[in-house]
Amino acid sequence: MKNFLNKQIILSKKIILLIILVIVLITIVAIMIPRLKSNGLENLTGNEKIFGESALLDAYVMLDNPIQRLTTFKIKVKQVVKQESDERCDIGFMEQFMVTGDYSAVVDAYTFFGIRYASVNVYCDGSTTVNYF
Amino acid sequence: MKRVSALLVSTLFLIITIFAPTLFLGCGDQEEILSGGNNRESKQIEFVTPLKAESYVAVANQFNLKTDEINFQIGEFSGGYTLKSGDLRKELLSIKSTFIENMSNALKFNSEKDSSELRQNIQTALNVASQGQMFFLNATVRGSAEALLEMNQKGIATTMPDKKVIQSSNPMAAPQSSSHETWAPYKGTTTVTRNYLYNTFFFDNKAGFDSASTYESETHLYKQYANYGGFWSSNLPRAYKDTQLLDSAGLDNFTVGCLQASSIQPYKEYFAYMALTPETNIRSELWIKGQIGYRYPSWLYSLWNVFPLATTKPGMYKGTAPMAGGVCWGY
Repeated sequence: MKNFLNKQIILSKKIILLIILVIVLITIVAIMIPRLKSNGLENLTGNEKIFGESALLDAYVMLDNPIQRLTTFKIKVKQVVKQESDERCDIGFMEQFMVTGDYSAVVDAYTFFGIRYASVNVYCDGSTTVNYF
Repeated sequence: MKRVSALLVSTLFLIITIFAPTLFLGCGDQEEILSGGNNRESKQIEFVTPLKAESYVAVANQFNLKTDEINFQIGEFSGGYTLKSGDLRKELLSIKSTFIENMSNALKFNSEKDSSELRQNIQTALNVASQGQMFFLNATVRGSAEALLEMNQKGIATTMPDKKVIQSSNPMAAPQSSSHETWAPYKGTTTVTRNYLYNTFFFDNKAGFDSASTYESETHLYKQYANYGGFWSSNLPRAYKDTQLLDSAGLDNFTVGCLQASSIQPYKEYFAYMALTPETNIRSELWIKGQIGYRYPSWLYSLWNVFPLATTKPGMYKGTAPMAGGVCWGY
């Protein structure tokens, strides 16, 4: 009887370990899917690329809720648009982000399994807005 | 449901992922978990009646609590203090002198504002503090589950909701206005030294705030310029210091926020003060920004359920730190 109970305990422990292993694997996959996405800068050049880099930083700073910080695995520049005016766009915190041109950008935020949960609009004047899906 | 919140799904997933092993392990180690054992998790507790220093020391000793951080109220000012691993009683009593020392910094700034209401309020708060009228509202403590439960049952303190709060979609659109946003301050002052930052600001319009709105006063500085110095204070309604969890590689975002922006009064001078400890960079660019957000769920007043909606332009103030004196800005 005692041997039978011991075997049962060992068996249930193996099942528990298996379940934990599966959960860990699913978690890794869920995190890796968004991580494998590009940051959207590869197709941009010149000032658009510089503004895109700045927009990524602004979007990251904007999404500052602790839960968001822990569950956002990729932010990606969806598009950079140049407006008609040619105003100097002094948007960046860092000097290398100074550009000439009135740009705006849309940056998407992705969470587990690559699900897009928010879209951040970054403007030339440094202001930002967020839309949640 | 028309729109399924991806964040809600992901947060549920995160919670399941984090807690599932605990639940399963519970089969074998249930007794230990139920008994509490040596399990001293960090919890935020809120005192049913605000406590004075001596009373809190007695409570902490009685329930064997280790205090990490404690939030206080002095007059209409609130603030927070990170405890070092020293003598609790001594440290709590030292908060008074820390408050007086730091708020005196605020008074030193801009001598031409001698008659301002905020200056008078700071002076009043200093007097109140020197009379020992300081109360503790809530704290982050480590203690056994039984101790926290017993405190709850005895009506001493309640455990605040867990940090892993479910949240989801956006209940409102970010408001805009033709001049400045209908939720942003229209003028203020800023001073940032190596040892503290001090922002004051006035609102002239609060039409953009609803009952769930929050507001944050943000100070952006280069990494390695300074770290949080363990003390903050503000007279914003339901003020809090935001976490700097995973702040990005380039900059530090020192933020004091307000969980109940609907209670902000137009043309009243508000302030956000934070002590800093200098780091290796002796100079930094400096941006002052405001951010509107919302609480979800709206009945919960915690920084963990504050979600951003929009930020102001950095034009509120952009300069360099440290500053020789304070600057006034308009927005």
